[in-house]
Amino acid sequence: MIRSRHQTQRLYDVLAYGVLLGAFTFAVFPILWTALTSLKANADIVTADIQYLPLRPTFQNYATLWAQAGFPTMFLNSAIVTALTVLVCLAVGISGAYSLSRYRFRARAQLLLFYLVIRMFPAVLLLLPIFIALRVLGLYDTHIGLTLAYTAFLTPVSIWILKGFFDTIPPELEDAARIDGCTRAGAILRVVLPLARPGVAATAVLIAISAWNEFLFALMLTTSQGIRTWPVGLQLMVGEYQLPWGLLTAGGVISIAPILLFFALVQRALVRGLTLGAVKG
Amino acid sequence: MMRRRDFLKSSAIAGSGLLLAACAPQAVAPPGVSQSSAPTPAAVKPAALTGTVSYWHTFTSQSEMDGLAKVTKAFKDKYPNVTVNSENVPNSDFMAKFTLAVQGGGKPETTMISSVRLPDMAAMGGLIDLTSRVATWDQRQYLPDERFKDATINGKIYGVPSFAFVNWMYYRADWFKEAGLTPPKTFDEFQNAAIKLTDPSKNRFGFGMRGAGGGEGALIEVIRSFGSPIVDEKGQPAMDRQKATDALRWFSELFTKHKAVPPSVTNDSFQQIMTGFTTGQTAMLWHHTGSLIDVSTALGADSGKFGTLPRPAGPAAHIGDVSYSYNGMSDPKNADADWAWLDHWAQPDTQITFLESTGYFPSSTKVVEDARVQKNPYYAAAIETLKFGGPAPAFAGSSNWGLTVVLPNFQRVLLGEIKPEEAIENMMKGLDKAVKG
Amino acid sequence: MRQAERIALPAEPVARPAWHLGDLSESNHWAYYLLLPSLLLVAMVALYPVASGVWLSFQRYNLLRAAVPSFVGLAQYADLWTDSVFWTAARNTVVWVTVGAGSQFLLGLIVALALNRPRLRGIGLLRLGLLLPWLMPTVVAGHMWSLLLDSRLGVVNDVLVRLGLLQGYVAWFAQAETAMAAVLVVDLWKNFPFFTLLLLAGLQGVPDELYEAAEVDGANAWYRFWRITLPLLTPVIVASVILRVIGLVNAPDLMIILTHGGPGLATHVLSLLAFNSAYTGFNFGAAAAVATVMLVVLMVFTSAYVRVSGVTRE
Repeated sequence: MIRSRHQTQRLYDVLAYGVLLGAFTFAVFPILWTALTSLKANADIVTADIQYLPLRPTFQNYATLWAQAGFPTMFLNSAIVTALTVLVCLAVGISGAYSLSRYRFRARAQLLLFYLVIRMFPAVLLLLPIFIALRVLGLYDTHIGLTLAYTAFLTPVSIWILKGFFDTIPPELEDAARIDGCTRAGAILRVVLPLARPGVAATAVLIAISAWNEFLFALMLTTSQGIRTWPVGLQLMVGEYQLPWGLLTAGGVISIAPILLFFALVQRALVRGLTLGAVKG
Repeated sequence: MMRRRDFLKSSAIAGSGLLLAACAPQAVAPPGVSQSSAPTPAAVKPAALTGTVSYWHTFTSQSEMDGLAKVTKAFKDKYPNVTVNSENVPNSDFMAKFTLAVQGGGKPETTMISSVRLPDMAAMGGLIDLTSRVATWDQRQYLPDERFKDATINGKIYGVPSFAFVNWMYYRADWFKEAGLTPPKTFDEFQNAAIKLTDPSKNRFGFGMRGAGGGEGALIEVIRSFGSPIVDEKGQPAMDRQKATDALRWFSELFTKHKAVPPSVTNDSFQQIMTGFTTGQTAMLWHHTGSLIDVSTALGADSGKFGTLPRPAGPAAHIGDVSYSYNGMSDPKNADADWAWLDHWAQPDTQITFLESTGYFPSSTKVVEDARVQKNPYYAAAIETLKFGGPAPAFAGSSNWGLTVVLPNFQRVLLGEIKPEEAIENMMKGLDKAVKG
Repeated sequence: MRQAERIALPAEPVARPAWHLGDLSESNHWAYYLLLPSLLLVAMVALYPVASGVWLSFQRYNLLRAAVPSFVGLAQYADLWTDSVFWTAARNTVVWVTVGAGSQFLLGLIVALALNRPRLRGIGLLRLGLLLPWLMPTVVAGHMWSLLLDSRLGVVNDVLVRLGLLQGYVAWFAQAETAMAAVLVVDLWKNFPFFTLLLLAGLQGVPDELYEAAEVDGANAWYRFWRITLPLLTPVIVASVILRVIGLVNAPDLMIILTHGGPGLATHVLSLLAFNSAYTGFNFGAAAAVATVMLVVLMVFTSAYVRVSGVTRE
């Protein structure tokens, strides 16, 4: 039986749905469980028989979390640092990635590897030099200081990922734009970036999430008197003898919320919305 | 056109210039040379003390934070011109943050110190010698010498005890009654009870052994109960191979041979053994006084379901470790006010306030004689343990030895991967390395 | 600079400030100006810490014994060479990285391909849900999964028992045989969206015309995938795989929360060894040696992979 093209496509659609539903369940079930747990009091979590749905749902965990130990302030600090990090990484990353993608110069391959070197060393061991540097520069416990530390680690990520996307855009398109009278910078802004929107958006999301959730540097480079960020606040709940599941999961749910918002905003850019006339002739 | 090489060179120079400016490390006092706080003159008037006191702690739970708040308020009432700035540090990362501060600057004026961490913190030059202050202190009479033992290194005192964690045992009084067993006082009785109370069909196990993080402590206690010390008075390795092997064999066979321990033992840390006990899976639990409130809340304080006992006595020794939480100084910018804060924690009123919030056992003998402690039936086991119990052996590097040598080898014996003989061999080698370097 | 660059500027001279971006971009050093910001940033904040870290590996620096480091040449490395724990950790790391990166890449790719189909309904919601594991902070994800797989309170155990797939609750992290697999599952859950995100964006960038042209020529789906999709995706694949491998080698976070290297040494990996040496043992020299070994291995892997895949060719 020769399948028509239409039927083949339907088959693939069904397969795709199957894959997506399976992966979706795998991905979302633990999140769902986290959310359900956050609505239970601790006595209902640590039980001999597992309670699936909360028999006595309560928002107490959220209330306690929000009221406790300056969470709103910590959220704000995280938001500021994340926003700054994304901005710097994108600005610096786009220019660097573009150059590495388009131009050939002798140390190019080595330079690409060089950017990655800082990520190849475990962050825990880089703490001390960075800690000292920030103290000496007077940037300890400041938004700028933490942003500086984050961008040092996330710029290589931005460059590598953005370069990957820039590589997939044919250079002929910029040549065409230049023939039409654009400067090189203009070509980047008017031709390359719009085409690379999915890639830029993906990079922005990655940077934002990494900065938002980062814990180790936030712990070591901030204090509660200064700009403590929320992942530190979350870890503070895990004591030597305490592991309050309710509070911890509530914290997890709260933490996802801003990211979800950010992602929803950026979603449209991730979808291929532009129809681009291909280079003809 | 600028040559590429010159470009790279000039940016490298610009970059390194900034780097060199950034990399001047702080001078760190060599270990062993302790920095003393100046001895206090005649008692300073409370109103005369001013300024701020910084304090690092690892309190986490609601009750602990509540206790801290009350204690801080009482301090403020006493010393109206001094402000205490408490910094809450996540417990698992405390040493990392402290180490960073020692090397790079930013040590707190005062800090909470657990007995396990004290040797390491002192060895890296992070703590101030308090001996002279303690010697002339009026609370000294209520704090016998052995309470300072964990905080004394080479005759110098580095911390003031604020509360205690007394190792004891919880047991399911109702199960024991049901089975007609008397609560165990010796290792033999303990093993017997554990085996009798194990019933896999009811998902019941006699003993909730801790085989993950922290479990090395219990094993070390058992080893000492069999008559093998860890280090001698001079701090040199002194493990007795035969006795230690017997101890490890006895302890691990509770799981490997008698199956009286839940199968999840090698991943069971504090959270898991507590869950096991409070959900009715295990009959006996080895922990300390700090968890009394949690257990009471879960099982009901007067329900008759649980009771407390001193740890059972081993064939050669009766070990019941008492570890104190200390407060010490790290960078006393405001020495007299800092000392006032440390002194405050040892005051009987403060200790009672804290006891009421957290249930943590007081360090001051005066408070132990208080009715609130004496009348509480559960505390009887702690009071009795204080008669024979003392600090666990701790030396610079002991935490690391416990976590990276003792624990994995213990787990491998439990898993059946190696025999107790080999495990003890590895532990002794590791101990040598830890002490001698 | 390629020939295409040497094209005449717009004819009309316009008065603009000297640093105007357009003029700047026409200079012969444009490539270098573009590189300058990132280069400076990385060199300033990154180079010194890494260099000092590597330098530390040639020193003995145990905070408990001496306040200042002392040079000992390759002694730290000699210690590692004879340390059986180091080799066990190295073996475990190989398993951890290859199975981890491989499984995460495969699942991420399959999901990205499925998400790329244009006519599916409800795809916005699906896409959002599939990204959630990546959004969750590691500390919450780690504790959550240790609860999910708990031998007493674990809902996964409960479900599997109810479905008849298990006899009784399994202590996944307590058995040497299952511990590594369990941690790999958690890491897979947490990180496959990283690949999905990037690969999907890459797939979106492949012009439809290429597929249509191939179909007209009679190519089937497999051919289209191998000859069109994969080659065009290669730069993104290489970048994401390298970044993920680096992440797997260097970050002990999940391991610390779930097993701390146990039971025994079953899940002990190099990053954990470095972490323990530094922050439990205060032996920064030894930690630096382990870290430098990891650095060298990663550099070798990355340059080999980059060369083999040809992303810097031309």
